[in-house]
Amino acid sequence: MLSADRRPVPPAIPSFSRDMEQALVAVARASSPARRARSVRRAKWAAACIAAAAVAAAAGVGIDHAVGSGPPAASHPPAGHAVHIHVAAFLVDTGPGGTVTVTLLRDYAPDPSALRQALAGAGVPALVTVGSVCSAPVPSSALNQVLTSRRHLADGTTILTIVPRAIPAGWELNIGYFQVPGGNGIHVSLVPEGAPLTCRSAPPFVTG
Amino acid sequence: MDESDADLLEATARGDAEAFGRFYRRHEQRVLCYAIARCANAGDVADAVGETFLGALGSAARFSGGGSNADGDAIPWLFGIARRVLAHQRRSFTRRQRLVRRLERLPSLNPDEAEAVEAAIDAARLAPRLAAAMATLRPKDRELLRLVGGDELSPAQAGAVLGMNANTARVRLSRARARMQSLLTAADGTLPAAPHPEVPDAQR
Repeated sequence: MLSADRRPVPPAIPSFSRDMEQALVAVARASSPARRARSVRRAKWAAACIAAAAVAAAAGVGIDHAVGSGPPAASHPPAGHAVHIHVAAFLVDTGPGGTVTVTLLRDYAPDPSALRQALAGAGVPALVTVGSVCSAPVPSSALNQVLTSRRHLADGTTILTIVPRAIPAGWELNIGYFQVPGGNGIHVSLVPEGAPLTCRSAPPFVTG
Repeated sequence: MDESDADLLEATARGDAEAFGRFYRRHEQRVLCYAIARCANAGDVADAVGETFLGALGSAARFSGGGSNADGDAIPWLFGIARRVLAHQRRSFTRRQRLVRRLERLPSLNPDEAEAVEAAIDAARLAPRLAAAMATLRPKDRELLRLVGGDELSPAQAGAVLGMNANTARVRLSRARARMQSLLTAADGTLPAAPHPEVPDAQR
């Protein structure tokens, strides 16, 4: 009867659909009472791991050496160990293929210690700095294997996809976080663990 | 056997986040079309879709497949949420900003997708004469016509979205159709002034 009697033809929005589904599932996961309880337990577990590593380091015993012989390898979570830590400033989620997704939300400067602990729980050794970035000579191809995706959403959110197993033994990821007008500035680099670093307060580039 | 909407929402309420992902995949296109027919731009469409499903997530435990929705189809329920979401979008900038902050972790359309959605909004825009005739209807009657004609709901389902019983919805729909027919076939081609201008179109 009316020319209004038709539903609009839905346009193809595959990227939005995928991202929205993932985001909604993440929110659903975070809002589940059982998941919330598990996330708290995992955060405590991550904190305990950090504490254990600190004790081992103080005793002069490397965690990796303590569990086996051979060259040290980057630390990874146990096989099948899923981590989903969601707090106001960031989300850390393990995904398929051993990847770790880090979502840094706009307008929230993460607590470096909390983010570092969350990443450690997901098997990512990290140095989190706010207002400064650190660097060391390392081939860019190495970083590309570790940081496989980096997206900035229109709302200022930054999403990093990390492959923990690609982090060379003895190295860690430096996530340098800046708050800049209109969004977050995130700089990511690989730095040697425990070595003196060159850090500076100005980001080499600003994104977001 | 396929999971019903009630099954998926019940699982969601129990903490099965992936069930909500399946629920989203099942109904994304219907909600997308609903938003396209009522929003002024692609950004509002994306927000409306995200906010609607966030609302559904928050209310999953309260979904009931009974009543006029006996087959468990959650579309009228989702459209009811979407309708409230769009009303919020139109109310005030401040309120909208508060909503946006709640949604800070939801994605947005990429430029190609936004262009496709804008094209769909243009395609869904009513012809001027039809839009003028629609504007003479009371807002709920106008929405009834859209839900039944455009969104393919039954009169009873459309009534449920708008908070009216099935009989009332049928009667009002019939009267609205008759009025539209009368206006559009008027010999002189003139339409009365719109007593109920439609806000979203006016915002374009």
